[in-house]
Amino acid sequence: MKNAEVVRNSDYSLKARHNPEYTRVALFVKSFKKLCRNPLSASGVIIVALLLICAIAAPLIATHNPLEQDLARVLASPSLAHWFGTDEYGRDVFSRLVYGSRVTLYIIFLVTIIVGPVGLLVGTMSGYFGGWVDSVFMRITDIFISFPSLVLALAFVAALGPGLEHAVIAIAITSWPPVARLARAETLTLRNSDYVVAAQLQGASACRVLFHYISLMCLPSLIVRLTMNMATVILTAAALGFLGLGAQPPLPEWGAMISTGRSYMLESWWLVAFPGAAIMLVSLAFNLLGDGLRDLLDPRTE
Amino acid sequence: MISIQSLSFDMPGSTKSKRILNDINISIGKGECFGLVGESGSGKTSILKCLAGQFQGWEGAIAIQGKSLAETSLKERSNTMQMVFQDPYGALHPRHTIRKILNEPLAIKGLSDKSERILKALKDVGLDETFLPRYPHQLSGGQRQRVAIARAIILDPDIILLDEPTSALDVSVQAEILNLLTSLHRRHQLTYLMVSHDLGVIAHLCERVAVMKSGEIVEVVSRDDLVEGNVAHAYTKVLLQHALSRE
Repeated sequence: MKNAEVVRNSDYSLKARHNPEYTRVALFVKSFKKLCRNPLSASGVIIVALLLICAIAAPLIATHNPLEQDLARVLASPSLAHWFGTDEYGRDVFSRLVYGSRVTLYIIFLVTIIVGPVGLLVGTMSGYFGGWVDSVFMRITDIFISFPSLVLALAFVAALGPGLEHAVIAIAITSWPPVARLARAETLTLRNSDYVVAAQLQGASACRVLFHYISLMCLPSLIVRLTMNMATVILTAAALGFLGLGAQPPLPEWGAMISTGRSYMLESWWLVAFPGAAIMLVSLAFNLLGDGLRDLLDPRTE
Repeated sequence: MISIQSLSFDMPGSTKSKRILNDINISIGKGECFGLVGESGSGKTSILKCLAGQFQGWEGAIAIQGKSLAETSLKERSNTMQMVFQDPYGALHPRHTIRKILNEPLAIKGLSDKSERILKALKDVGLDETFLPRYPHQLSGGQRQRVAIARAIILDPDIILLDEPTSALDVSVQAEILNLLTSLHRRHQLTYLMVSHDLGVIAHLCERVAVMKSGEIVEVVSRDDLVEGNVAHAYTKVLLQHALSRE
């Protein structure tokens, strides 16, 4: 009987046989190489990696204590001792920038872990269940999306009082709606696919379908969206810091550094130029990384 | 096993609903292999979708093993009925490994001895355990369809709904899958309800065939009558002629 024959996998190597994770790791390495082949996304990867290194190894990289004041060397211009000069209290701008990367990463990290799950949950649920669930969730999303985000963040911080955590919550509240819409749009294309129908036929609960089937397929585009979002988060955080509503002094936040440096800008350009350049570079890097990830993860662009 | 009485279904549209199934009566015995044949849009797949619970709001009575379908939940239905889909590329989750795909129905049911069952189902469809850590995109179309069939039989259902299981495959692979379905039918005492537009495929597998045209069953013929050209309705004759002229 022909059909009783067992089909053998000819190209199934011994290495793969012993390690079930092999295919996954190989896939990851291959994707990473592909990402770095594009010079633009490679530069994004490098800058984001530098930012991470700065944040982790801040005490090793910084030449001075970022909070130490030295009134004898106030507003010193860039020199060998102070690479990026000093500010109005004689603090080293380079060291403050390096430590500021921690604040920036902290904000990005917190916002992303709030926005990602919330957007995913709201979006997939409204897309999957449809009907009144969809209507209610999407109207709430519309309300949040129709507010100007900075104004909503301002109102929120004004109500709760200034502070880094409050700025994070404010930014998160204003940035989840686009993520939810994206997840909903993805879910709508997936919910009638054969494998979802098969799972329903196996008696899978809605919860299981959402977590094991639909979320998994939404993740790539969501990761791209969140990476692009990080650039906006950095800018909004800097804007809130600039307005005095984000990180509070003496915490070295880049937006707040520009804000205080503004008064001395005409004589001491380095107070504004270096933090400004840092904000620009990092948000640009996240945008480039997002573009690269989109080329990599989105099957439609292939 | 399956009895469908005066089944009608209206597809709700934006302005007015359209009747896509009209007064369908079928009775399928245990262990039988029943075919539905007809051109595209004749409502073959709609009958399967009513059975599988994708279409709600149909009229009439459907009973599975004497139990009314309207009163059984999807979860209960999953013990007796599974489905194999037309497109082997869309039927498997692209980011699940074969192990995960076959493990899911067992995990949902909370069954133990998962790995033995998975290995047995794989062996039943002629694959071995080296496929387990692979993803669907690393498999050929025929291998994917085998995995889809393994997923359908892993819960030991009594009925399998086959929605054009071979039409997306190569001719040589089609024959393999048909042979596989035949041998599974014998070994597991399954009841098949198979949809196809290919009379040759239907005649190979099914003992009885219902010919459908624009939402209605025009004729139910046995395989022997079909092979001998012993059919009554004019539309069946046309279909038969087409099938013969292609060969």
